[in-house]
Amino acid sequence: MNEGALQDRVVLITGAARGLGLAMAGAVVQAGGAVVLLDREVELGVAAAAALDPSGAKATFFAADVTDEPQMAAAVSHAVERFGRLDAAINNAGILGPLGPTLTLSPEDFDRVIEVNVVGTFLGMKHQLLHFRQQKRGSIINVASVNGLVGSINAAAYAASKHAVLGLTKSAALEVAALGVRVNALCPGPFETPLLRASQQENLKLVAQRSPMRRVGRPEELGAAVVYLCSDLSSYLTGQTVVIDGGLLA
Amino acid sequence: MRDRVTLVIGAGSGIGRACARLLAERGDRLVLAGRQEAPLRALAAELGSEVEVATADVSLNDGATTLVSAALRRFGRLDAAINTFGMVPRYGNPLDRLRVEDLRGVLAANLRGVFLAVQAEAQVMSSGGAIVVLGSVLGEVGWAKQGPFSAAKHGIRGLCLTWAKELEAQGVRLNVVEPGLVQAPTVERLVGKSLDAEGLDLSGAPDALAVARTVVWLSSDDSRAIQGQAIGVGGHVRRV
Repeated sequence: MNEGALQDRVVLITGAARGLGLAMAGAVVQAGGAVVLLDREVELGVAAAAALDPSGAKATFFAADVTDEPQMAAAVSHAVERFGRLDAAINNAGILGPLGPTLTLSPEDFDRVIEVNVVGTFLGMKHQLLHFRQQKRGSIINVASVNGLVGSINAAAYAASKHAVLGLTKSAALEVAALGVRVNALCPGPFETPLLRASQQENLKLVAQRSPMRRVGRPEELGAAVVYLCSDLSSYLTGQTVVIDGGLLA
Repeated sequence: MRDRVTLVIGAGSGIGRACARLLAERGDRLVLAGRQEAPLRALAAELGSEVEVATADVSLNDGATTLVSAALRRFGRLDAAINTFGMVPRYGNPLDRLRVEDLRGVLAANLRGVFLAVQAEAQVMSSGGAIVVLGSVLGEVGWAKQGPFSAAKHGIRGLCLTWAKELEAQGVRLNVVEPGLVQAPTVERLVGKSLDAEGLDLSGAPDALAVARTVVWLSSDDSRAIQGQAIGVGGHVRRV
């Protein structure tokens, strides 16, 4: 599926050393593209890139923290130096933060979630947009969550941050639409990832029962959407929130 | 209900001031709060004796606690809180020309401020109460060159609609009012000349008082069946 849709295209993916980010990278490579995996986790990231393509021709790792602006600027330069171009970027890095009543959430914990998820996404977008504006082409995908659209009890900072990402996404889309640069958001429901496992006081089974499909998503099921949104297949699609949730928000 | 005590943070101007006037007419005892003392004092002088003035910056860690304490000290209780404060950035830069400090500032003044204010308010409403927060239609749609404000208002919506579900158990209602196209200086500051470019017209749009009526209604028992809602007031800005 989607074979060749990203032939010779280069995609930067943040938070890509594991989980959904890594699964998205796999889908891009399968569709003929090359990926720059960005993550703070150096060992995991290097191993992930090597596993995707041992030759290094289709996958490389770049160590960076999404809240560090010089590093996020350098990531774009690195992609261009390494592969000669950058066509799309997926801002996927994010944290859930501690779970618990919002009434007793500490300001420090609240700030941390906002800093990584909102400011981190912004810093990625800013430097990707500078590049895409220049080449008058490019596609950005911000990974939000179904909790960017509906609340999530005991994870209010997370819900706030993912809502905020949608505000950034739609505003940026309007700013660059006339140039041919596209900005969209992806809102996954529950997927089998380290983040979900960490968040489960209830187990995966209970989450699965709430889903109309009676199961959580498989990471590779985001791949098709990512390939579509990165590629010219979606050339008239911008400022959108694409929900992939097994029917949860239906 | 007579003798209700309502805290209005952001009472020094605009929608907050309009809310305070409506509440005073209704007979509420009021704490007028904000960052600047002079406009609050002027409003207090106009509204009579059952009014307290308190100042703090709610985006700072203990700011909102100071304001809630002022209500308890003077009146011994808090029944409702109205949060219309916020920082409206000037129509400005696209995201790729924005300094990260500017984004952090807008998020702190609006989103962090709401988090800290609602926390301080709900903490003293152990036997129920009503909290209203001012969002924006930009909490539902984006706007070119106002990305940080749109992000903050989206965030406020997500924060409050989640939190309302948690607060239900203690009888606290939390709702958001999202003004759209209304006649207010802040709207012109927000969207600059883009209103003209989009062919949008503010004449005939509702004013701050119209928004305030909805806010005050949501803070009262008349709306006791409404929980965890974001209610739009004024024209929407959808393009179709």
